[in-house]
Amino acid sequence: MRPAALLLATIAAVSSAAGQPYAGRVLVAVTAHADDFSLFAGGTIAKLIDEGYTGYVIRVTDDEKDGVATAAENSERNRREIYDAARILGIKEVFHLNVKNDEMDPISETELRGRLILLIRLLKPYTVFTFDPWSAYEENPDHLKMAKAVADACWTAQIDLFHPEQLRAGLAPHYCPELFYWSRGPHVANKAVDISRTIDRKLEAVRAHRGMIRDPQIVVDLREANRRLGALHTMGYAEIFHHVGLAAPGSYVDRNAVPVRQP
Amino acid sequence: MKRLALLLVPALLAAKTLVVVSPHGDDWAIYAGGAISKMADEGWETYLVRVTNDEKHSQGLTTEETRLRARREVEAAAKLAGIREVIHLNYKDGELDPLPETELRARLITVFRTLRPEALMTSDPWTRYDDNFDHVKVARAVEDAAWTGGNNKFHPEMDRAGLRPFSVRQRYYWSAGLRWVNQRVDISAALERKKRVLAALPMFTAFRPHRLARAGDAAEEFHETTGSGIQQQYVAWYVEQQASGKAWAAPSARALHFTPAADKGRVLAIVAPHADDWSILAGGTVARMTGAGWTVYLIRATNDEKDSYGLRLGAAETILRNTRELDDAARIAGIREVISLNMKNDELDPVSHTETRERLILLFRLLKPDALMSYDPWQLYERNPDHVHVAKAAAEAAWAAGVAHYHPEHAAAGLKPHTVGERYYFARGPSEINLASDISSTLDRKLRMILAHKTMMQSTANKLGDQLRIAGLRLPLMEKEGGRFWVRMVQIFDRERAARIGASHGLKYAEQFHYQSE
Repeated sequence: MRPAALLLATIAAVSSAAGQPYAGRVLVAVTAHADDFSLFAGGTIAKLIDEGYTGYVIRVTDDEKDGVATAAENSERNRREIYDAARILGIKEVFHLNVKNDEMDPISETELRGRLILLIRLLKPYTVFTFDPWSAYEENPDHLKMAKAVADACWTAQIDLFHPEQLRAGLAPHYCPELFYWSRGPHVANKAVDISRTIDRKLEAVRAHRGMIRDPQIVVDLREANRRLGALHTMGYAEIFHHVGLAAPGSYVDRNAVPVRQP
Repeated sequence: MKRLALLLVPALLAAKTLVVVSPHGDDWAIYAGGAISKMADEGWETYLVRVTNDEKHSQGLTTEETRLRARREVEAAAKLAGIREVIHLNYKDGELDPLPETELRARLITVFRTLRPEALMTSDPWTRYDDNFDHVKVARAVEDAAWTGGNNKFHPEMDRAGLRPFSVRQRYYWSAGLRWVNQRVDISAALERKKRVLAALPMFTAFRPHRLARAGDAAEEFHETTGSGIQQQYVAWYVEQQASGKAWAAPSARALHFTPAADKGRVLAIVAPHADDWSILAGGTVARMTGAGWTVYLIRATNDEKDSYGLRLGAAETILRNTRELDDAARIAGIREVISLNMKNDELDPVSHTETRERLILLFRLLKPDALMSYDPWQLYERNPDHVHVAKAAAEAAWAAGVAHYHPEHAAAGLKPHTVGERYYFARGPSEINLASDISSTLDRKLRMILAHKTMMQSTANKLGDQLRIAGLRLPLMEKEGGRFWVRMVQIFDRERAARIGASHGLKYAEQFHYQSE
């Protein structure tokens, strides 16, 4: 099965090789709805892409209930506008799982995990962005259901006994070394990212979701939120995450692992 | 819905409306009875939505009698609290797991669109260490219905029937568990009335009476919210958290030191999803307990068919090896018997919670353990869904095994109700730690237990090797040790873990738990 995908024109990044320490690395943002990744991680995603990452977005639901028109029209408009936001942030390609918006409860997590494992094995991300599956007071069940499947898929994709039929189809097992969880509610926040150089592009991307971001005040509030988060960490603007790395900070692997090649 | 339609007659006074959604007939009274009475006195029109039929909330009555009595008691108590009407959704008590959240949400949206309340009150959807999972299940549907009810894309057929979209902004969440409390309501003036309300629920209050521990307090605690928003509330929370220096879900500052009572004949049941979990996180404590005279049984839920990474073994051979090696580890720990439930490893999502719970209830009634040891069902950042599924089923089975209404067919097999009173929860992620166990005397034995899981430890080492390679890293020790790396890995990693935990409790080597008893 080939996932439906549309190749986007990549932005010609005018940066020197020295400014792109992460050339060759891949990031995948798994977003429940078209606008989530821009709202909560757009600044960090644009920054990493500036620094050499290739970025992809996996949009899980069809967003049929977010908009003022019929379900089909909302779905189509939100699908179209994610490409505008993706282009602004420098995302290379967007994948759509087309799961029914706001009705994810009866969906099998094993099935959703299987679809995500396939894309992880295809795209081979180093870094994955998604909602924090453990965030509290998160009122949208799509966010949590999807995020739990992502967290699960990121480690199970490495194990050949999960979905061996995908290996038969030519895919290889893959492990995602790091995860960034964004959140709307209390969680264990342990990483702040300075997005001062990308805040304007982030907000431009947010505005591009015109069908979903119908109230211009949202963009004003978001700039203020990122400014306040930045002020706490002596940064101009910041996004905050729960970060999961390959090894726990301070552990033996964390202290003793060394790069294969010096950068 | 006929009775609801009558309520659409506009009130003469613009009174405010409160809808209380209670999973069971008594939750609202225990945790919010004072605040609800107070609001009714202040002129709020109050409605109670009772979600389940409470058929298991009694001791010594039949299921049918329990249902009838529960309904009568709730109606009487509601009247005393000034509640105008009780709406009974009549879901099966204690068996909400297979209920699609979207179904419950739809029924609640109907209620909200009909009554159009200014505020709602329910159980906290984000509580932790509340071992009745009906509460969270109901509360999450309530929270979801509160905002989706305002969108006409949800249930357009209701719109057609005249129920216009409506979202409930103001929400108050009660709970006995650990959560974010930001509202304390002084109920001293309503306390006598609350006592009368509770007295009208005699069947309920006799059931698991420890829930009433704080019912006499002069204040009730709530989490108040108007919804998640984009990120404004999050930022406010984060700023406050940074200012206080207190991390979300941070473990308790001080843990009690654990000394296993040398009661011969005391019984521990370990419920573990996989063969190795218990030895890595609690093996030193298990060895202390067997040494002190405890009889220990190990209930292992899955077949571990996927844990042999890089060893080129099929699923059947993997199951055989992991099972045989578990027997070796259990022997070193002094465990009397290993019982494998043989559930499919890493594919528990479609398995019914109620079914897993039933299997554990049966074993608890058979083995009569004094204590349960398992993963913490409330730990955060646990990426293995097997751990969460099994822990939740075990936590609920521990008390439900003591209630005859759960699986009365067990009685026919000669099994009597039995409550597992003590619970020791271990965790990999953030958990509310309140117990430390000194394992300085058993650490070496613990390391031998872990090393007995040869296949799983080789699998872990092989996985780590590939993870490092994918991340562009290498570990010099791995290259030096080659095929023996997995042994050094266990010796170094697990000794370091015990030392790190020990250091946080003033001990040389330790394991840590969240402990509960009833």
